[in-house]
Amino acid sequence: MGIIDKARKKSPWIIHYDCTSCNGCDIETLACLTPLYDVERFGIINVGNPKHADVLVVTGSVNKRNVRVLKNLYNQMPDPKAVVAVGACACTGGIFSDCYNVYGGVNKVLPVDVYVPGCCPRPEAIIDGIVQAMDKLEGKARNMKHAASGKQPEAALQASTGNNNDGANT
Amino acid sequence: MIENVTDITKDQLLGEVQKMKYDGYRFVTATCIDNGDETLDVYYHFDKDYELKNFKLKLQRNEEISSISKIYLCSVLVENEMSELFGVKVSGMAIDYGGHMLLADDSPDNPMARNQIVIEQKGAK
Amino acid sequence: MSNTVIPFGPQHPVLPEPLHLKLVMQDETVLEAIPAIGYVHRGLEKLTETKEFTQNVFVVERICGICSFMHAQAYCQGIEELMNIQVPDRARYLRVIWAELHRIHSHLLWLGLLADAFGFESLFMQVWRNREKVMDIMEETAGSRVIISANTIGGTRRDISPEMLVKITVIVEEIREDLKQVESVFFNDYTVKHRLVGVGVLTRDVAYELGAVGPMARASGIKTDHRTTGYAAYGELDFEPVVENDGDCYARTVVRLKEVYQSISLIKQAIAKIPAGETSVPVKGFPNGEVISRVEQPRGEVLYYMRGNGTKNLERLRVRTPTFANIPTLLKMLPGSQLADVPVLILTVDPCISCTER
Repeated sequence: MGIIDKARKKSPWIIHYDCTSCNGCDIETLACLTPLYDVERFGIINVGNPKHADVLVVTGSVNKRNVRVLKNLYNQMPDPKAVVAVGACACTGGIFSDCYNVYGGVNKVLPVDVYVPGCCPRPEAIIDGIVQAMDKLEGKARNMKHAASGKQPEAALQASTGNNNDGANT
Repeated sequence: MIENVTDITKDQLLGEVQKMKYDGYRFVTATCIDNGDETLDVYYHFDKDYELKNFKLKLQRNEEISSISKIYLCSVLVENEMSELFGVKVSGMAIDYGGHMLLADDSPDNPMARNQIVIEQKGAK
Repeated sequence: MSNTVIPFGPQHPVLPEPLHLKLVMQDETVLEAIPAIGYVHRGLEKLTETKEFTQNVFVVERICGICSFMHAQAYCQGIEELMNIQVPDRARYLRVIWAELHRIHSHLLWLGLLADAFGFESLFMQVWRNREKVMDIMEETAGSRVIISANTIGGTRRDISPEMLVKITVIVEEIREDLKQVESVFFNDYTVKHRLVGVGVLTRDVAYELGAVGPMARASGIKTDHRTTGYAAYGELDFEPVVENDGDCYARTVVRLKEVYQSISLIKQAIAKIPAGETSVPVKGFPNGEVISRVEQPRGEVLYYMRGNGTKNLERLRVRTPTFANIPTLLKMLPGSQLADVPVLILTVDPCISCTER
């Protein structure tokens, strides 16, 4: 395992973007960083710069103005990258899915890797979602390597999805 | 029932608002209601010592009113909101967002107005 | 020297929420600031017209997660006034207890974010650690940490057991002890005072003219607190609005910190006085007529306007949230300030963008 692979596995950096969340999921995401839940024990750090980030954590549904910002952030992130949709609104649009200014969940715009349901999800669920995204990241990194060397990535795919069956949060 | 409601016309608006400012009232907000029959009600709420004073203005759709932001600067946000969401024409706003304060380019125009149906009823029976 | 325009936000490390500002700068000084919002606009007021008036309680709770209980309280109190419903006494006291718990959690959250904005990371962590105790009470009494959905038209959906009330008394006392420790840092630390004292001064007249509400107004010497009108059970409890006169960031910090102590005292008074009995009454009929309902939220006064037409749907629901009234103060505070102070200045408004745009 090279230094990059190790860093990605042991310390994924996340960037958090609030789409149209009611703040409930945001404060729970922030609560993950604080002493009681403390995601830094998994090496997870919240950064402000999308070019430093491995995981995009999105709260809230996508509306007609922030869709551009969200795509911008995603495109600026280096590969491999994962998207975690936190909360009912980010998963499907939630209670706001009928509103005139709302497109719906994040999956209308970006490929979502992990869905964390709940209104609001508990910090434990959010941490679990990010940890599962770490496994997906590893799989994606392996796929990229295989693609570069021209081999088939099936073995890598199996490895990445194999340990995702336990949680209710995928 | 709302207490302290005074019906005014749009010519009286600026004068009455100026009087409220002179009497030391705080501008709380304005409320716009679409009655669904091509008329709109606009309430202006003022507060002093927890007592609300309200002015009610009845407008035809597409009628133009003058902005009170020259008197109360803080009314710019609510006036922009009214003109965006209801299509009320407000002239002379101190900051005019040009219909893009809340709405994006591909949002529906004047979504709160009742002359169009903008929300798809999901699972409507 | 030519001017530079710096876009601030919508994605910014110091702001949990997307607020965009165009800052016209000369060197390090802000000449002009134009707030641009709209990144969180959903169209919630329209949504409430398609839902039944009993369902709307859950919609208005999701205007803002931080003060969700008070949004539902303002809505329910308005509908109750419209339909002439007498809420049981126990429910009125329960509303005070939950509302003040929400105020503590909101103010502690803000104190932490402020510490983060001026770069005091360990203070941020300490305050948020204390805040978890309030979240635990919420979870134990209502089953959820943030959006507790305890209000309903005609009372509350849940009761708090007598044992739990005793436990709350003990825990809020612990929170008071914890807060005493961080209080001296906020009030006396040299670096903290250096970032806050004299920054973003808002005089009494300017604050009043711009329609500031809540702690923003109280820090500028305006004695306004809607709880003194005595809605819910506040009329039977003893408290005085916290007022400071300097109008700078430091005064706003002092107001919010002292309000946490005030909330703790209010919770203890309410627990001491809470009567036994039912927590809700059945609701019959549909709302008809117009009403205005006002409630003091952590960020200031919220105004609900409702018009019912005798059917299950409301004709119009309009919400004027406190941040909507406080945003214009940014137009006066930011010009003339240093770029490095902009995050602190924005935070002292305690902006809640999802409230503002709905």
